[in-house]
Amino acid sequence: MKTLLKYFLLLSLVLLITSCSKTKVTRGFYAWQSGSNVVDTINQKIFQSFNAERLYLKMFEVTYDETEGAIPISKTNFKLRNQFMSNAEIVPCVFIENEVLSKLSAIQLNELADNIVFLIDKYIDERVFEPSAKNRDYKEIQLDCDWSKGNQESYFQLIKLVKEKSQKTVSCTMRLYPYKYREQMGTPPVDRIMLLCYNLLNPSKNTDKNSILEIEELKKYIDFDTPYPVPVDVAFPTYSSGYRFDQQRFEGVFHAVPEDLERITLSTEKHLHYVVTKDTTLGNLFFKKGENIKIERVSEAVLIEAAKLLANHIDQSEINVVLYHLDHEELKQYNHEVLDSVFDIFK
Amino acid sequence: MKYWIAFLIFLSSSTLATACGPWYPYGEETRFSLLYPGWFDNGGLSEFYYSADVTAEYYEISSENDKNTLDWWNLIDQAVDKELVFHTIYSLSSKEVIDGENQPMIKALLDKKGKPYIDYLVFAKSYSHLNNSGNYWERNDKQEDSLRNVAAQIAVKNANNTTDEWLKRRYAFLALRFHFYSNNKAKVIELYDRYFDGKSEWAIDRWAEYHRLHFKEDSYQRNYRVAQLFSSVHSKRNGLWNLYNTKINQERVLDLAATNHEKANVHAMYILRETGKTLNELKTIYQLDPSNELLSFYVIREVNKLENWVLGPEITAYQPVIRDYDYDYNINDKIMKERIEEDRLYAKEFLDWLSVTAINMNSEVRSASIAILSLIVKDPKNGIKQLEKETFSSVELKNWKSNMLTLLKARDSKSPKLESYDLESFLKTDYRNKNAFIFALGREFEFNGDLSAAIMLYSHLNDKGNYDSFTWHESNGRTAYNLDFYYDSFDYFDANYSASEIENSWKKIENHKDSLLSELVLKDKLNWLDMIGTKYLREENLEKSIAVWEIIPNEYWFSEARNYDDYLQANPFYANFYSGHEETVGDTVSFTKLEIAQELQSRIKQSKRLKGDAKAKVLFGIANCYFNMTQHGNSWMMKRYYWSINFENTIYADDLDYNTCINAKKYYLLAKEAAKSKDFQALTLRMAGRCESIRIKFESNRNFDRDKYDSYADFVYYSNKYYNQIKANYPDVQEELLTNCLSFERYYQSIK
Repeated sequence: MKTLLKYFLLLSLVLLITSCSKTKVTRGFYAWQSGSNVVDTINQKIFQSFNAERLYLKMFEVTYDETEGAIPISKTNFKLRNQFMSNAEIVPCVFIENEVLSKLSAIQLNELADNIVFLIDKYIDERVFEPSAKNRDYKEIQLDCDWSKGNQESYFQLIKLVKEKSQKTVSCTMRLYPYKYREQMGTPPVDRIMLLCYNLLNPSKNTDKNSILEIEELKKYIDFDTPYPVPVDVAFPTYSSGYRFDQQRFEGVFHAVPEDLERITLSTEKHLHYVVTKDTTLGNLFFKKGENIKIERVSEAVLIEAAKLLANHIDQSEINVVLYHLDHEELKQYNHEVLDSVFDIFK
Repeated sequence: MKYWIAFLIFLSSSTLATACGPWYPYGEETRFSLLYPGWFDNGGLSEFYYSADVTAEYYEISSENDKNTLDWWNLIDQAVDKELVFHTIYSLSSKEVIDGENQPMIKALLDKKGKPYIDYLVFAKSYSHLNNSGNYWERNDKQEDSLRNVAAQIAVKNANNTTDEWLKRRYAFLALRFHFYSNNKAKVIELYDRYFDGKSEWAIDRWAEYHRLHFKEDSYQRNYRVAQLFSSVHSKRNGLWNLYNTKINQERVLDLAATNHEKANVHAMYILRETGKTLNELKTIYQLDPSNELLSFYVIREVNKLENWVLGPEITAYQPVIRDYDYDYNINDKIMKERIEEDRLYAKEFLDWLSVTAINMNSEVRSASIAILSLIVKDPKNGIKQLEKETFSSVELKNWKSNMLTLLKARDSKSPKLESYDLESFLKTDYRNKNAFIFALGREFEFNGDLSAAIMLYSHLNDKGNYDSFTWHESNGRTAYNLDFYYDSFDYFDANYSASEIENSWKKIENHKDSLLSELVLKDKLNWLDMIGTKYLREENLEKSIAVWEIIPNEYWFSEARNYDDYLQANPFYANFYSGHEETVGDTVSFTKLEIAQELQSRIKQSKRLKGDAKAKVLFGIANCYFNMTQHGNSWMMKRYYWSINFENTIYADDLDYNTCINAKKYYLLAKEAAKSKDFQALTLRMAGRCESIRIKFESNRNFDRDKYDSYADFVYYSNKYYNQIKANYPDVQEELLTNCLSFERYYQSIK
């Protein structure tokens, strides 16, 4: 009964917001996995079940190698199954390590832009789709980089070059800090930005707070009304992190906190911290008795609250609302209706 | 102004510069281990040794571990050195092979097998540049694919044209590998099926299967075959591990295995990187196939885990918690103790299995493991017995046996005596894990109360040549300085034992003159005497402090041994100490540590003889000195060698006085009682009030009643009882004294 009431209220909220604005919302997911053990099919079924239309697919990351220069690593092995993804629009994403920008000359930046566009095209042509796929096109490239003031110029130049060479829409991810302090951090020369509503705090410095998303922290970054110079899309976190506080640890941080972890831990007086009570292997992770683990996951209530805040903050006729990321292990922690609401709140 | 240090965040002495940098021991650096797996393995499994790092060590192919080298060596009837075979097949260029008719390996090949073999080598080397995946941006795929295709066609043609099975398969393998790098699945499968299916006698047969497995769609079948290849294909182990999917059902993979040998291989793969307990799997593998090739590796790996879990916390005190300031130690300590006892029971089960059941295992692995496990389960006699009957083959293991026996015997003795052990080999030679052995042995003595033995042994830690920076953790909840680990035994003993304990130990150390054991610590004698005197001063035993420091030659105080030249140059008795960090006229006089102590002692005696204002003035000077020997003063090196403003809660005997100026306050108040001058009385209260402010700040930790006070500064000021006394009892001077420190001189001069 309680659950029914909750969804009734949620639905009322959605209807209320719907009735006073007409934003076109496109649903999307990030797919950030690399490696060969990704269970693509289950994730793609989930994508379809949410009527999602955009898949922000990380194609590769760019790192800097002393001898080879800027090189791609963690290349995608994601294969889109026609059965589930025939209507999906792919947005190829490329993560660029901060160090890359600092090390490259103008000529090398030009070469990097060339390489990025080349490899995206190649993977779109040869790797990502099934041979029988009808639609292999893409319209937008998204760059992801935690740029700083020091290498802002290089990054913005790279964005321009990628746009020029690809002739596509170019977007970039943006954390809340450069979003709010746009005067100091500059406005990247993109067609639109993806505002990442997560990773607000440094996990090592705020050990008693949820570094993924705290509403009070979020509010600090959107306490103004001036629209961003380009359209804004938003991404919300549906992932979890576990931080192991152990001198002799073998895994520092892990994502997708195993469901069974709660069974073998006791909560401590410190918020979000647990102590392992029994030596246990869960999945590929071994937990040793006595280990202190900080578990972070954004609750359904916080997710809804964050979506409401952003929906009130952004006033646009169309928006892409995206969940990070498409992983059935993480998404099963959330009720389907709650995630539906996260998208619909923006309507 | 170089001696005014209050604004320095951290000051290090010259002797410990390396320990004070931004480096903090972490992960693998804190893992305690006495047994190195590389002593039992030719390197083929080095990537998978138990380690906090993703990859323990990089695999290096060598003539000893490369099966392909062995195949070529056997081909020429072992006519030349194996190392030369290795060099010829992997390092020579095609031109060097063509021109190398006088090179022994080429010559042997020509003599024994003929020119077609040389032609093969030249062909393989000519196209070897196509066997790589360094094309990061995948730009030249088409061009390289085309070249590979041509090369593969020639290779297949050569394979078809020869009747020599060796050459046929070699050429076929080259073709298969070209197609592999071109991602040509159909061709790889076709060539594999035609030339290699069911074959495994040569290295290339297994390499061919390795490449073929990348295209195996059935993940159960793939796991099954990967498991079978893993034990015999050293150079591809990392690639094979990446092909293995530990998430899929083990039972279904086991169903594919036809023999116990194959089933054991499957079990072995599933625990390859397991960091938890795997004894049950080891038992299963042994039961299925006692000669399993990976069993020795797994046994050592399990021993390494137990060293980490039990010996680590017990010996180095590295416990698995990065402690926050507000961490609840009691809960954690209880769990840690339980955990160690559970792990010890597990070690006992492991030991029993090795001793009773696994009798057909590699004898050296078994004996070494039993020795370590005996130490873990506190049954050293058992370990001694096992080691004494084992004759290890390698020099490293023979040396290890000797060291391990020393350690076990020390553990076995209720009161170990240094004289009972031959420590020459223990200390003299360099060997892997030397620091761990020295420290473990030192702990045996330390925990038995023989500090002098521990001091001498620990002085050999991180000695030159032992550059692996051995550290151990603090174990009493508070730290020596701003670090919660130790690198140097000097700091450790300074922090953890009393002045008399160190002094008594030192006397015993001096009886060990001219020995290898004591030579390092005796070279450092003056530093240790300095420390003993410093510790007595911290313990408020001025007399003993002076007695020890008097032994030290005067030159020491001006030598490079410490930074006294730079940081102990002010006059701690001078009255105008409220001048912040600027040099005062009083600083034309400076003292050594001994001189300050002697002057302090003399003034204390003098104060007892005097009365009235004269007594008050002497007591005021004493109070100044005590103030200046705290972290807030100009002579803090009287009590510390370095300090940090970031971490005040140390374990030294004078921790409270060093942070809250208890002694200074006491003497300021005694001066007030003695003084007749009202102005001087007010000044002494002002200075006692300053000490009180410091105490309030230290103890409140910035917490205060926000309803009562507007700010923290208000809280500190208004809760200071001495400032309140000035306001109540000396209303005429209170404003000036509390707001203008430049006025102090006049108040001080009120007594001539």
